[in-house]
Amino acid sequence: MTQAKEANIKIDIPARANIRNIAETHTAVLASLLEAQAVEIDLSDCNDVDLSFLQMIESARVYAQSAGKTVKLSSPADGVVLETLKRAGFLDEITPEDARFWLHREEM
Amino acid sequence: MSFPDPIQVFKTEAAELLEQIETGLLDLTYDLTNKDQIDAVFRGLHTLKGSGAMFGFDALAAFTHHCETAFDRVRKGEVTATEELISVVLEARDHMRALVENPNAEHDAVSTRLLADLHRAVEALDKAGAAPAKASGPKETLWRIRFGLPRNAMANGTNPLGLLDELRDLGPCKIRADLSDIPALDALTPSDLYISWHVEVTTAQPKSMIEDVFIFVMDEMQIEITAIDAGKAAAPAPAPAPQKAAAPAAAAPVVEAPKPVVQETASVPAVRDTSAAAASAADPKQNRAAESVRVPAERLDELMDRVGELVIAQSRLRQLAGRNADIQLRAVSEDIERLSGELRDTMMVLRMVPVATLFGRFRRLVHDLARETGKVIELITEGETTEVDKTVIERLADPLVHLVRNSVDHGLETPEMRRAAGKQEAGKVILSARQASGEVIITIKDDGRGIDRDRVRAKAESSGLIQPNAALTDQEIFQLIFQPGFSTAQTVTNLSGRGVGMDVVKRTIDALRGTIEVASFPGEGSEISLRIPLTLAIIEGLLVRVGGGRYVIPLSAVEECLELSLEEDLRSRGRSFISLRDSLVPFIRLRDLFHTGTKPDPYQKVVVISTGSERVGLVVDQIIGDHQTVIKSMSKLHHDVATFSGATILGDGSVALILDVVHLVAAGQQQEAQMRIAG
Repeated sequence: MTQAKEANIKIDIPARANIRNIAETHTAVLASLLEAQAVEIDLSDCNDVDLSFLQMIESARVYAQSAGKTVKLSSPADGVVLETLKRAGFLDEITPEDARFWLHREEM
Repeated sequence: MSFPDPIQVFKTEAAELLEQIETGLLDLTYDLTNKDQIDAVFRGLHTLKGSGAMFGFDALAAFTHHCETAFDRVRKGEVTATEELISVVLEARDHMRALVENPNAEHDAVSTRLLADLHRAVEALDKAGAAPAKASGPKETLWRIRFGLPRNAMANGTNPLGLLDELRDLGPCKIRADLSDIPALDALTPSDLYISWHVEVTTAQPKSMIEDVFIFVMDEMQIEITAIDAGKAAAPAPAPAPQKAAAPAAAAPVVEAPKPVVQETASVPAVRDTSAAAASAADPKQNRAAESVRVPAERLDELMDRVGELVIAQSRLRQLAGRNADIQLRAVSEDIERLSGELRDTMMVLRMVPVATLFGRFRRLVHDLARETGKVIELITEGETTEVDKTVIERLADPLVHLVRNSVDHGLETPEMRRAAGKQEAGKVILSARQASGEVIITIKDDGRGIDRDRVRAKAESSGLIQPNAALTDQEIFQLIFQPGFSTAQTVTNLSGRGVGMDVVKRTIDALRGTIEVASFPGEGSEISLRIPLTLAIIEGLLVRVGGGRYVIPLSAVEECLELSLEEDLRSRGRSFISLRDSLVPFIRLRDLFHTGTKPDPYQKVVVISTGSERVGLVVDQIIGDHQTVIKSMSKLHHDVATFSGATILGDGSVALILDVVHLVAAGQQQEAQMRIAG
């Protein structure tokens, strides 16, 4: 799942990232953040995500901010991830910071 | 200590949900608009779908989703439930059980057929038109909803996204997730839920519909629902003060604390319960869960085995202490005896389950039978709180199915015949249970045509079961229906008439050391009573010696013990009857039966045993005394030995066989009948 690049790590999230395997995904992302200064998360394979996954990503952002590290998405959320963000109410009043993180946009 | 397999835990919970769904559906058949039952069914389907998806039962989740959608429309008042829809969902519920139990089996064909049936039933609802509109017109209100779900909501199978989708279904919606409580990744429990939501929805639906979205989690969640802009709504009361309309933000918030939504009703017209069962059934499930601990049945069996071993060890200790002059040893032995007796009694209570768990399944059976036969049937259950050993409950299920089927098929008349006979169109089947002196008595009663004595007798004569014109009591005639292959039905139906079933009832009840009593009155109906011992695990026994072997006779069957004097023994040779208070009681010399090859003791004893009204004496060499008998099953090799119902281990480690009272009484009665025929 992970590929070390010195101080940066890229994580490929598997196709299914939901409550059933959230513990594994959490462990992998946390391990990467502990190890690296910057973590890039690749969601391009994701086709089955749920709220637990979005929450875990948000939690990673909280951790990164408090630890002086960075976490970002390889590409803007689309497909099921974008759809799940909409359903979960992440986009109705999105802040510029969140828009930059999730959608790679300055404004909505 | 092993942790329970989560899949097994899900299967157990799914079984409960399926039962809840079935109960709700059956209750609905009596009142198709009962909102509590509609909610209960929807809730069950929704939870089953969510939990199924979470535990990887994808086929179950996908299939259940369709039924849930149909019931969601009923719940929202878009359509009214029909008998047809309920029948289809009942069948679908059976299929869901198969999907739970064998998720990897091939289910597609059945799923497709059932979904087609469901589709047709829902189409019919659409054609029939929507349920009557509850409101006079679409008056929209802007509602502000703030809610936070329980921390373990996702882990328990609740899908918050589904709830948000449901809120969107109510009308235009603005949803904002509040992420402020999400901890840093190193402090996150990933399956917990830290997000809460602020929602604004504009809808013509009443507040109760918003609450309905949260119906499953309402008791544990935090929620505020506030009417922000009631200006759009036509209030029945005088128009609101202008400043409120002008300044909606200042409007008095209509904030109501969440109220318990789960209120299961016991007011089911056709399934009445005169006991307290109905009241206890209405308790919220959460309360029950808080007051009880779920224990796998096999652990109870294991504990029972240990208690049994302890009782055997205690019995051995008592023997040793009895032979020893040490007073302290005797005192300890008595303490252990008392404690093990108390432990045994406690264990017995743990194994007891209310008979409601057994009766519950007959509601579905009767529902299906009514559809199959076109008869109108009212099932009445009584005494559902009566508790019986769980093994007994399990083994009573099949006999009761046969008896209920028989009552419906042979007993109850068609509505036309009942009207012609001056009876109510609906035939009654009454299932009742009660405890009496160490037994549970389960009765199946109907108000149908009754058993035709003459036909039973004629059939028995033509089959050679009885001699023509043999003098038989009503009870003896009725007992003939339990003979293998016996049936007076002129036509064989799917339900009964093949003569298979009632003999199964007899065999099972015999195996449970129970008895069957039949009463029937022409035109008024029949009543079959099953008398079963409360427990099968440990019994009080009378230990006797026959030759060199020791045997246990269940104490509950023992009426009295007599001495068989040498003179009486000699006098009765060839006859094997003793005179007991002016009546002749046949007796069996166990020494002969068991071919002990020993000489009889000079003072033999007769233990008179009975099953109901039938008695027989068992001649033994010595009565040793009472014995706490832990019943051990016979090995497969000895399973067919009818004279014994099991074995037990005595205090000295030797084995004593337990006599099968029913078999011995029957043998004694047969002996008596042969004597009568011989003159």
